[in-house]
Amino acid sequence: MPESGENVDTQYKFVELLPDLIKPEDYASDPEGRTVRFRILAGSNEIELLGDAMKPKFLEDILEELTPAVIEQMLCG
Amino acid sequence: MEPDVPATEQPHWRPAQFFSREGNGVRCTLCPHLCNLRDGETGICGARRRIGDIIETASYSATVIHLDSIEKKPFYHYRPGRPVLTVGAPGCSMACRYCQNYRLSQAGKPTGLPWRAAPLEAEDLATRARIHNAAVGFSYSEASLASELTIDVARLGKAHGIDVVWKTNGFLTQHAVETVAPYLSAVNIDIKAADENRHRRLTGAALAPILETFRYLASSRVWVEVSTPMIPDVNADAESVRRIANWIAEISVDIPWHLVRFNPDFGMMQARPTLPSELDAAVEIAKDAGLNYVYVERSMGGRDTTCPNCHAPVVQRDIWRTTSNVLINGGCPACGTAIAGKW
Repeated sequence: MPESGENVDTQYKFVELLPDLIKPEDYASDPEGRTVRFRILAGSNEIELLGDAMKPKFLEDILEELTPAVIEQMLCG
Repeated sequence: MEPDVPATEQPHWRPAQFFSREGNGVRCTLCPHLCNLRDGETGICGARRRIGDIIETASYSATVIHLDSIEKKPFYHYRPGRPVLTVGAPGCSMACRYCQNYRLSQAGKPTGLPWRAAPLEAEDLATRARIHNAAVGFSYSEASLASELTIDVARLGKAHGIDVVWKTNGFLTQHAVETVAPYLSAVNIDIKAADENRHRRLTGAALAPILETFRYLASSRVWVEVSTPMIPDVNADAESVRRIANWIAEISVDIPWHLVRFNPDFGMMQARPTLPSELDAAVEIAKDAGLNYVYVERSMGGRDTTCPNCHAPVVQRDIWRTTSNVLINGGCPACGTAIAGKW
């Protein structure tokens, strides 16, 4: 099991592609991997929050706190 | 791209191959766990169970069907630019502590993560692949759990040139490998650690059978590439990298090796990511071992192929696709050296 619990109200949806916000050069400046980046896009009826993190669970914990209906995730492989 | 029918939270079981009856027991023989199951019991993978005196599989299912580039699997020396209709279904024969896909790979197990997938027929998958002029890939969770579906799809797709590829942990019995290999065109196999103890602690499974699978497939007609997540304090040290590089080089220095940056997740949140310096050092060790094609995933550069003889760039890639391929009949345009692969 993951090291922290999950918000059962939020569904995870696996999508083909999400943009990278963490760049490869970021790893040299943050060896502990604590960096989380966000891009916020405001539409007329909704706000889209795109996130990226060196430790994905950090990002998911933050997003789940916002209790979205869906979190989109890109799979490895 | 969504599966044709809505997902359900109940697995769709059907009779499987790869089992034996032993007295009152029925043993699953797909992977080296060799689960000896009581009636109604599900195996370690979460995707195979005993009913009566047979084993059933839940892997005629899809949680996702994505049309990916073949470079994303990753395959760098197999039909560059080919789209891959990639199927992911719940279950895995391992429980890797770092798995980024754990919501899929560990679903249906005692973790409590819900099973969610739609039934999938081999005919539908082959038809979709034909429409997209794509290969069929099994990935995201453990491909080999779909061995029966792989065989069915490959048989149906053969007349239409539909090839089947796996991104796999390689944790298969010899019997299963020998049975399914004739139906596979290309396999990217993970070698996740350089010794048994570390591999077992990381994945919950033995390493030796994976090396057997690797050696068998690499000596067959199946195109093989290798991936290793470079995990600090597990396998990113020089000795571990050298050991894995030597295993690959003993089979062939022309087998591509993908060094994958580790991003801590799932049960390894206290670990740190792979440092750029560790990736750089690993590349040098791999080249010292004689490997001709070493790539770094999730990192800057490191994805291009150069001629091992004259070092001319021959194939260039960005994150998920080939951007330039100047090979002539699979050879370097500058010096004519054959570049290993199925181009």
